[in-house]
Amino acid sequence: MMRKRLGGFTLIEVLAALFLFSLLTLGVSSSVREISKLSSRIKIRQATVVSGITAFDRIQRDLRMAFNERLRNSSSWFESDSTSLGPDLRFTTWESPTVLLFTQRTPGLAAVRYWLEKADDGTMNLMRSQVEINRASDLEKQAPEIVGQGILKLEFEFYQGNTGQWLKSWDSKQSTTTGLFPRAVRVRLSSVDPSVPEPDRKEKTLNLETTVLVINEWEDRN
Amino acid sequence: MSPSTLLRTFNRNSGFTLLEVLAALFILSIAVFGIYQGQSNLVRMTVRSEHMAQALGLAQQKMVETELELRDKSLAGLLDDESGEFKDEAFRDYKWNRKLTRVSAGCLFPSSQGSEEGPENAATPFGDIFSIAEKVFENNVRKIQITVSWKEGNKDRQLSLSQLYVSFKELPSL
Repeated sequence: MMRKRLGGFTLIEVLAALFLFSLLTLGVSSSVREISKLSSRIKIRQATVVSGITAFDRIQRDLRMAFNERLRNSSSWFESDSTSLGPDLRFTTWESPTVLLFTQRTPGLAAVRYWLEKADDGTMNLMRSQVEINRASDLEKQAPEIVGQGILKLEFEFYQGNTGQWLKSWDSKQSTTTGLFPRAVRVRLSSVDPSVPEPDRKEKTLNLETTVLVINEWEDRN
Repeated sequence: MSPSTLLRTFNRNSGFTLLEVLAALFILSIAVFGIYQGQSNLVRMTVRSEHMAQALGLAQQKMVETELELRDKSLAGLLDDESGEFKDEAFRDYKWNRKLTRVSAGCLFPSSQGSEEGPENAATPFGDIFSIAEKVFENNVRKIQITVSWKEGNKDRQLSLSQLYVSFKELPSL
């Protein structure tokens, strides 16, 4: 009798218990793994979306407030040419109302420059620099800020008002027949989370495209 | 200590029964399932916000293109209802639709619209202005509505932008 009580489970019982237990554990652990995979995917997706949209919005805002000072025709300009990395865009624009409000700076006009710079991970950073319009010659020397990371492609197209053509580059000094500024600017931006390894980047890319109407009084009055 | 008392103490400390373990695992799996649901919801939301950002850009683009078109054409030159797709490879999933609808001048003169004194109003100066305004609204004012639609899984999603457009070309002579 004593032996029987010490005997515990039979082999079958132990096996059945182990089987059941392992089945359940497997289910739970695989869903835990699935969850962690999902959350890393979310992180990548969100990083891509956020950096792409931020850069995209920034350019749009500056373009909407592009300033064409046609009357004095001296201090406003709009230029874009292509470098090996992508476009280099410079133009004059109104500073953001918030900046104006808090710094009380006059004249509230600025020159901005957008360009791309190679990052270590094979993607590019979107750089932006800004100076007050009366120091426009310092635009190159100004310390830039990074407004977008993981940029794969950035393209601009410029709408020439009188011919209705889209141009790849713009030079306000040579395009004076149509006004100094383009009528509209098309922006195309592709971005990805820089932490995504190179081969996977293509399918994880976020493409954004829009067209911004540039206020161009000079052209409207002619 | 007798062997039987030893056994009893041992037995009391010997952990859970199978049923308890199963119940615990069951509860755990419910919790994990809940977390999983939440995460996959998050994925869907992220994808959605991506699509929304793309669609918003495209809708704005279409609106600007419409405005550019209207610099050369009159409002009558555009179709009232037009649809199409986006040329770019990356935006093949998106379709656009543009609707131009007339706007009633009645919004400016709420009292004179639909009231019984309508015909008599025509004789008063007020009625005169109203008829001119009606003509202007008829010819020169349109509500432009751009709808961009796309498929997300098996669901149709869409985003609309609309604005009032006033054409200053061909204003009716007074």
